[in-house]
Amino acid sequence: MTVCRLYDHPEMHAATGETIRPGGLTLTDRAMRLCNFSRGARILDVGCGMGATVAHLQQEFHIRAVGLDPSPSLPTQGTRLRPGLPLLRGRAEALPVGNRKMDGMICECVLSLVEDPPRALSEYYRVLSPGGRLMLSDIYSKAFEVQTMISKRAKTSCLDGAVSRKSIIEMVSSAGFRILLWEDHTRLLAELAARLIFEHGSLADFWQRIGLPSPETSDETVCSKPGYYLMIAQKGETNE
Amino acid sequence: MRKMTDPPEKVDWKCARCGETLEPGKVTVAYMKSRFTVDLMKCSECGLVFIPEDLATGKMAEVEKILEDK
Amino acid sequence: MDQQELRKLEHQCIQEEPPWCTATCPIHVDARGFVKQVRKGDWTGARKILAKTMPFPGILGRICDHPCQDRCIRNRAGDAIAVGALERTCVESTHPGKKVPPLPKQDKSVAVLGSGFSSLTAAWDLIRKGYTVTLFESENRLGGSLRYIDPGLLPGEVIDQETDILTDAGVTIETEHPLNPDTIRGILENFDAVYLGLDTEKPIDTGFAVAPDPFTGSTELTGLFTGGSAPEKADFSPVNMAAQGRWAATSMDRYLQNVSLSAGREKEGSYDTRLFTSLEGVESRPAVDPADPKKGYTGEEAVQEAGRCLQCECLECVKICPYLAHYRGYPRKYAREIYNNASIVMGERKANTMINTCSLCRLCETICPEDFSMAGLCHEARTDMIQKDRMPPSAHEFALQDMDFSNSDKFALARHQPGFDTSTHLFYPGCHLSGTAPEHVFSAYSYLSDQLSGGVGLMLGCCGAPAWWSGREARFQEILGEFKTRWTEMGTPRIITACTSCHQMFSEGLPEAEVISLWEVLEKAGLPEKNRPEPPKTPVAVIDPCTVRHKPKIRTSARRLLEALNIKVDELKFSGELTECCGFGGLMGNANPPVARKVLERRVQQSPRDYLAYCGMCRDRLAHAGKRTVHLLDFIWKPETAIDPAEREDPGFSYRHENRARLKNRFLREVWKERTREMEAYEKIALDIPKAVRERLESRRILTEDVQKVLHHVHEAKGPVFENSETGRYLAYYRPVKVTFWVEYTPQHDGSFLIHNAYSHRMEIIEEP
Repeated sequence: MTVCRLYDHPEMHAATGETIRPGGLTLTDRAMRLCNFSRGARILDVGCGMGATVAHLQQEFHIRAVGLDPSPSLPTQGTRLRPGLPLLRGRAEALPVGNRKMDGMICECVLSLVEDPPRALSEYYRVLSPGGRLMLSDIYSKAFEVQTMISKRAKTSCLDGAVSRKSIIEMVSSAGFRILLWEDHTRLLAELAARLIFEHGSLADFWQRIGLPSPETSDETVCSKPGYYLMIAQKGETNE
Repeated sequence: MRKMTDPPEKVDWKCARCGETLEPGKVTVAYMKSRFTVDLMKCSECGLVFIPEDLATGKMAEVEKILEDK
Repeated sequence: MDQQELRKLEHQCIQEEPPWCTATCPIHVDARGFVKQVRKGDWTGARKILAKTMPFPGILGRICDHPCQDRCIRNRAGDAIAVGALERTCVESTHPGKKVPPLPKQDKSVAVLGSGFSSLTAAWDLIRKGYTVTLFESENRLGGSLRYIDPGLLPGEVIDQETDILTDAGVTIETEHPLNPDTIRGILENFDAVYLGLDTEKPIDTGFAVAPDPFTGSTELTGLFTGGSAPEKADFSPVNMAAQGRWAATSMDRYLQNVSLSAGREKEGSYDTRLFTSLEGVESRPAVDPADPKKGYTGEEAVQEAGRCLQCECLECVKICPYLAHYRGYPRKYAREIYNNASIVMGERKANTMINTCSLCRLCETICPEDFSMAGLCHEARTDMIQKDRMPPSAHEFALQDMDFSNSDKFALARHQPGFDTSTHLFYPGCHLSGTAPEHVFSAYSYLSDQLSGGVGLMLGCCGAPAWWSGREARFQEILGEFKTRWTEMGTPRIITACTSCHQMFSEGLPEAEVISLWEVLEKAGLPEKNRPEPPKTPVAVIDPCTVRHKPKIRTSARRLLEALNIKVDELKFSGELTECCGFGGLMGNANPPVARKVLERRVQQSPRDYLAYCGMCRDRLAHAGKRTVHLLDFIWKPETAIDPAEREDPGFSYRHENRARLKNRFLREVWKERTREMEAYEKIALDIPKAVRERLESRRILTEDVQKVLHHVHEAKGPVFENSETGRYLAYYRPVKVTFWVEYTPQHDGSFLIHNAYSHRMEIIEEP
């Protein structure tokens, strides 16, 4: 099972339990407004961490949101922080949800971490009801030449798993989805780096503090020209 | 956990316009269309923001570089 | 840069070309890598490298006829590396590697006839490509002519041991299988492709004539391939036997896959490599003599012999350029990085900085055997970045502001000589000489207007080189355009430049103009006789600015002047066409100060002599690095101060501004008898800046006028200011344009300000509503 060491670390969570990720909730809000779900729609947040997004969706959009995370500790911490919040433990590759049950899926800065992304995408497809929408945001690689095979070695952060836009679109389409929108939000990565610098003094300090090798010194976690994207995809109206 | 943006407990500087001491507060800084909220010392009266040398030449410089290089 | 251009560039850099040994070897063994491992005493590692390319290393390693040695570069500095002997020592002391497990089968079957070395190689290659292979040998043991080699060199057991891997890999071996026209006809019918080995003295009788294509090994009979080398032939070569078998196996594979037999096979077999390896500084050393020639090298002798290997590579440009060395690569890699604009997230090594660091001096181009130009590559990349609005604003901003200052009314000036309403000549001293030695500019103009007839005009300003260097083509054209207008109005005079960068900008940007250097003019007109300072007592090393690399006339003029001035020269190795950058050109100093420092340090250590430069910026940069450096003009006109010109410090950017402004004012007052420019209010603020603080401001690129602006803002505009209760000092800030400056100061009794510190940042504080 993949352990997401970076996102498990308390340094990556503010006191409110919100995960520090590119764009924070502003990108989530953008995705939600683009999809325009009705009140009471059922949405699954894959990689929910402590559930800040789940809580936010419930409050701001009146959505029946449920969260899922593979971490042994984060969902528990989340329910302790916000009692009654529906957070489950589980993996993206094997969703503990029945077929065609969800109106929407939100998966933020998670797919690049998952061990078997195509498998995860087919699960997302399975649990979505016809016409349901997938909101996907993540790191991707903007470099010209990039390996298109997703490495299956254990990933410690989403930087390891970054692949090209072409690969991602192919992967999502292969799972049966129709891609409605792709937006580049690479600026958010720089802003995240900037926020981490303000928090921790310098990026070198940040990596040291959380006990992971700094990307600029380790040859392995090199992501060529990282970008950040938001994608909205849809499952077909008739059930295929 | 002590953050590096925590202002030092004792600051010798005070606002020369108001004569008041500085106290910690939230400040918005911006560069190249990005904005960030940081904790800085401000004049308790007029809100003048104090940016110490190590912040300007350290973290700010690093952030500016990142935002420029994209 | 498109893909095609990238490929062309990558091809131009020869660093990744194979060394002579590998290129000459018919099967391209990595002899360099092999010898490297031997040098370390890593015999297992060494064998692994052989096994990557060599079929049956235990056999070939003992008997190879090493054609590589004929082309080994070490031949020119002693003897070739005894690669063959090293291989023998290696395979004698190591065992074959892991057994190769049988591979999944293709549905095609091939037959190999005979078990001479070419046949064995063909069988080995084909089984590894997944074919079903059956080897037919008429004798009861494998090896063919290998068995007739001195067993002291190639024991029979070794042949058996090595060839066992064929069976392990799944080759079906049929020994004692008669090979005659009948059996062969049967084999030809039952197999999809057949290899006929011609390694024996008495060739296998096929019943028909076999004429192989020398390139592919194919014959007139479809599906029949042949190759090999018989021992008694004049050109017999064990490695050639292996090569023949290998090439035939490749042909057979292509035939069976139905693809072109010959496409893309130009690099098969021996070829000439483009790799250049310098022998400079390599002492001639003979090959190590083995104590027992029959037994070959002992381990120790082998390690010693391997120590003679040059580990051929080019890197000629990297050797002489600290910038190229800094990024730990070489031009081929850099071209690709720039093409990809690869970057490492959150780290420092971004292609943007690398692109901006090149000084554009073109030394690499001159040194490179293939003329690879980093200058061309980087300048184009910068232009591209500007067009796509991807240039980091702070990379060149300071230099561009300096350029703007020089073109502002604080310095800019254009006048005909007093008494003339047109100019036949125009003296353009440039912004840097004016900034560092304004008195020489004044003397030079006086002298020129005396010596030359028809009216010598004067124009002060910046030629726009910083704009061009930074890839800002439009801005450069704007500046050039303004210059052209003024120059035309003045009567299209002959332009005399004191700076060779200006010379380059005008020559290339304004081809209709006649541009000549001050040095050539002084040489022709003769040097002033009176008031000439004493020449230096010891010889000097001349620093040619990088912009005269391809301008021998200017270099010669400068040297003739030195001769006329009785100045003895002790030339640097890297002078003239091979001159090095001072770290200022191309705006390297702006984009990457640490690398610029490395460049300077290298230059400074090249000679114990005092240096003499004839470019104002070179002189200042070297002085900044602590090297005693004079300017050529220091020996034509006596400098204002009595201090030794070689001890004069780098004035720094703030002083340069002051010097330029004062120079313009002096010209206006003394030559044109005009009123000087009104100073702005902030310019009147007096500053007292201790030396250490001044150095800090310089390194932080904070000008004294920036400090003046802050103080002016505090007092006139009631700008923000803090007071320190402990020290009594004040700290104020102001943001004139894009940068916020903070200044720590103490007001003095006389109205001036003592400056303690200053720092800056580009981020803005957003005022809360």
